[in-house]
Amino acid sequence: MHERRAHHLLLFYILLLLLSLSSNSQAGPRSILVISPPYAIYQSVRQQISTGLTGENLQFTWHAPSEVNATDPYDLIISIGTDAFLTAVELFPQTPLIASFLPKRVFAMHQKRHLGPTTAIFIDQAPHRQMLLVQALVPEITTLGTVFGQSSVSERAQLQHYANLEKIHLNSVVLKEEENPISTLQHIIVNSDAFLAVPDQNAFNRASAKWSIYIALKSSTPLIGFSKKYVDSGALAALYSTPEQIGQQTAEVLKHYLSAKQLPLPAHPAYYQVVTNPVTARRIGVRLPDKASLNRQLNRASAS
Amino acid sequence: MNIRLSIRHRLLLLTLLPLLFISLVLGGYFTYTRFHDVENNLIQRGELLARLLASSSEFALMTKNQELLQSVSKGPLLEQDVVDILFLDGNYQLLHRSADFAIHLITAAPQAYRHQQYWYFTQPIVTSGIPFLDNPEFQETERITDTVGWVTVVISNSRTGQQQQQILWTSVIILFVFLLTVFIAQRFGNRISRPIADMAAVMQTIQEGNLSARVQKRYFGEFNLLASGLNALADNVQQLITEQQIRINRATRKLESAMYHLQKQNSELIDARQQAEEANLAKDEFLARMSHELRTPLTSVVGFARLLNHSPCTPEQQEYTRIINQTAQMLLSIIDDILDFSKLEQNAILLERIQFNLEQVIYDVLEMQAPSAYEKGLELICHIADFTSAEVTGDPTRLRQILVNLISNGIKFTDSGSVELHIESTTISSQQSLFTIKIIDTGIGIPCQHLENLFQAFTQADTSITRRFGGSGLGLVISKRLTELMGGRLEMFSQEGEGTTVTLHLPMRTSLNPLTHSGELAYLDTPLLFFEPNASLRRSLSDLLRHRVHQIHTVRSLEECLQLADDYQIIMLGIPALCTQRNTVLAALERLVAKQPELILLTPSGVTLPDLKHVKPIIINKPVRTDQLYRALHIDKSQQQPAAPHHNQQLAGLHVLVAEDNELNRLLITKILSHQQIQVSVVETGLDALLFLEHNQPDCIIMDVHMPVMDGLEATGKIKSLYPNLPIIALTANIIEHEHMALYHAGVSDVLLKPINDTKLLNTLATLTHGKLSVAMDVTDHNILARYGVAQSHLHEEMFTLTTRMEQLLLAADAKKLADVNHQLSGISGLYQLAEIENCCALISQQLDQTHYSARILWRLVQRLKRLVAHHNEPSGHQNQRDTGVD
Repeated sequence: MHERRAHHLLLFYILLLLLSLSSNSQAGPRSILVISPPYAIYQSVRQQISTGLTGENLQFTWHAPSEVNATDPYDLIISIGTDAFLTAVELFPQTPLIASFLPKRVFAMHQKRHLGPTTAIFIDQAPHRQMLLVQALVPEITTLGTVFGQSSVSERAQLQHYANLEKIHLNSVVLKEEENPISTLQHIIVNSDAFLAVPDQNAFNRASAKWSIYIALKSSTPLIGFSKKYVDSGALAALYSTPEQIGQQTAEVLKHYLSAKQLPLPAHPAYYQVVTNPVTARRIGVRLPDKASLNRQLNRASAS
Repeated sequence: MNIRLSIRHRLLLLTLLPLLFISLVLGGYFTYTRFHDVENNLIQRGELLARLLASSSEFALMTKNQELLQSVSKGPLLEQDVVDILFLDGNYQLLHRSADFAIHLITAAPQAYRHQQYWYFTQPIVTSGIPFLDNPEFQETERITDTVGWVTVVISNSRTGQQQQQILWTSVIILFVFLLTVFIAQRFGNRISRPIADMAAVMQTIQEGNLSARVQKRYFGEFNLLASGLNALADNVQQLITEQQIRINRATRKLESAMYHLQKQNSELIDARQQAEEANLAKDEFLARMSHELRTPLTSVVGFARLLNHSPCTPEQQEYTRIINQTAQMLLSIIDDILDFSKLEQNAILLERIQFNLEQVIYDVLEMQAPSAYEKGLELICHIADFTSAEVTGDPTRLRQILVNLISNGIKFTDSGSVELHIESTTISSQQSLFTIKIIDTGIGIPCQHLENLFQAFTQADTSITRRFGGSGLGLVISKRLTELMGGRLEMFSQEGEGTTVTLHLPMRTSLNPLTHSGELAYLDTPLLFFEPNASLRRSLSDLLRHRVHQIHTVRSLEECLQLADDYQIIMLGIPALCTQRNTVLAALERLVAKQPELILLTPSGVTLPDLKHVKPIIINKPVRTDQLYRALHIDKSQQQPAAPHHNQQLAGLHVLVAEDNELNRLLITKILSHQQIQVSVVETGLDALLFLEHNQPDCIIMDVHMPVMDGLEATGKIKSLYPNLPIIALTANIIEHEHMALYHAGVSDVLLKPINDTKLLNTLATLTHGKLSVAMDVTDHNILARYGVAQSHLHEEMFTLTTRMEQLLLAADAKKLADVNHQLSGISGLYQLAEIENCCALISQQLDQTHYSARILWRLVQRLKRLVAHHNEPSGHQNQRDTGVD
């Protein structure tokens, strides 16, 4: 009896020793720098990344963009936000980089400056998913209006592509920098079945957002925004991702990198939320689909 | 300019000025406020419209929608005075305008301004947005241009101007109404205040004396009533004052008349007063002259009486001369009293405080009155208790005057019987006793109703009395006043037909007489038979004798006396004053002295006694003095003889000239020198001395320094120039050294100071005439006058002469000579230790030393001095004379 117990104990110690040796031989503790501005929204992303990587043998170092020391060697850089991304590109051009929580147009503008492996998780929603949401909210839609600015004009073709797929006419205008957007917005919104707001500094500011809602409500045109606050102000619905969802996706990308030793391609948010405004819906006479139906339709985009 | 405002105006100003000021300030303030409120309202309205338009035109402006802008402008254009609304884009380019007229637009700032008749209100059109981003990553910080355009509201100012003009006009109208109100109020106020002011002015005019002033105007209502009332009142007042003025004028005329009469009377009174004063002065002069004239013969009487007394004469004769002297002195005193009566009336009498023997004073008075009593056949009886040996302090002259008055009155009004004097004392304290002196007569008595009148001056009980008894009627008054001055009381009880009792209550300080208790008393052991028909007198004398006589047999009848006479060696027989009784007694004398007893006769003065063959009786005049009685009975041990000075044979035969103006000193020096058997020649002035030396050659001159005509200093100088070897002794009372040096310088051999020291004088005389000699003097008696047999009367006469002269000098207002005489008297009084007189002289000297001396005080002092001098020769003088045995 005692002998059996002694054998079992010996076997346990041997297994334990082997496990430890195996771990050391595969990869040591990785040094990862997280560059993140010291604001709550970025802290939420970072917190979610840490949460998602619990149990990983990683040595995280956190710095604000202005405090990063370029001489320190890191195995991987995770940047949260535009400033962090630009800092990482500037200071660690060779180090593998996961750029999280930034607009697609920013990444597209600066990714070439980074020489090492790079990937990104955008905050912009995928165009197809947006088109599906429009269709789900306004099933009889034939014309979808939208306005692009100089920074978002690159997305026009992709959106046109998905509109075409859904057989929707995309009524879009590209605003010039000095052009008054209100008149253009009025014209587009009034002449469309629905209007999709695209994040662009030239096309949408607080004034044009206000007047777009005003015009949309006045002309009973469903306006699809890109933030919860937009919906709260009067837009019919919006598709967006929270910082936690972005953090979760970033952790998953890091895990993938740790396991696959390779970074994935930059991607739109995998996780999202839809928010609607029932008051606006009643005002403009739109019947909102139930949540399950809406999710089902949107999931088509994920599936595709 | 000093503007005097009435109380009404002051009150009006006090109330109206602040009110007016506040009203104007408030009116101005509110007008100003309203004026600006209109403009402010316009500005606020314009700014509000502009802000509202800026807010509402944001979308239209951003969309540059003309229609929308016009639509937005429509509403505000309907507002009053809004004439135009302009919209401009961010570059101040006009987008839309509602009207078309020339304007003056200033852009680039939100503002309100006025140009000509238009107000311009410009406000920026600002865009506002909504929060629409959850994620800051979508956009950078927005650079939103807030101001997207401008809106200008043009408002016409014409209506506001009209409003402001209206406000101004309203204010002017209000001010005008206010001024109109003030004017009306003033008018109404004047209608109320003017009548009051007019009436007050009329009242003032009336008060100022214009009684004819009236309110002439007609007023309304109560003022008319008040004015007529005031006029009526003024009429009454004018009438009253006119009547009063008439009465006053009448009274004034009467008063003037009375004043005239009064002035006339006053003038007459002044004349009368002047005459009275002149008469009074004449009276005083007359009294002084009469006093002097009376004194001169009286002094002669006194002098001759004393000369008579000095001459060899019987004791009876001596007694008569003494009584003459005393009576004369009393007469002098009475003259003084008459003079003093006026002073008594003025309370100007000053009482002396001198120690004297009361018993002696009483006996002096009784002796003085005895002749008149015995002349009328009245017994004069004195009942004196043991105390009478006591010395009392008071004014003996005044007391004597009182007693003389009372006793002489008693004698005067008693035809038969007796006048008795009873004296008793009650001890008040160890130093003071109350003496009760009763003078009881058996005279005609006085009716009760006349008793009070007796104490009024110049009043007697009955006018018939004056005719019957004579007299001035002053006696009782003076006695009563003097008694009261002494702190005493004088009472009189009388029963008509039975007699009168006058009681004198007199408190006086007492002290024991040392002479009374000195030495051993002598007693009479031999039985004494005493007959006195008058019971009262018998009792009085028995009381006196009982203390010193062991066996005394008093008999009431002459028969009994005759029966017992043979058994007694000493018989004392009282001779009655009544003539019939006296003759009976005198007739029985021969039988009484059959066995040759020692006979003592108590006889009234002036009675001629029969010559007795076998017996030489001892005669004692009534009233009987105690000491006389004791002396007659040989039981009086108080008699002492003064020691006479020794004389020195070395000086005998010298011839000395005495130059001295003072009689007393002259007499004294003469006596001193004569006693040394020195031949003395006397002169009274320095000139007389010079004249004397022309025919005589004395061995020495004794020279008084102060003499009339030629003083001693001058005389010495002249004598020495003629007779350089003649020794001169100067006599002076002056102790000043430089006078002595002047005398020595003039040639005197020695200077002797007054008072005269006989030893020193004789020693000096001996030294100057015989070389160094000493004169032995027996100086057991310190009284130099007594030692050299110079009578006290000489001293008194000298002092009397000096005081009389002082009185004359005072009347003549010759202060210098008065001071000289006073100085002499002071020297004499000092020499003979007469403190009272010396003190009085010192007071006179003090008064004279003053720049403005009081003649009135001086007169009193001189009169006092006269009384003191008079007293010096009376009771104590009498005592001294008899004690020393000089007389």
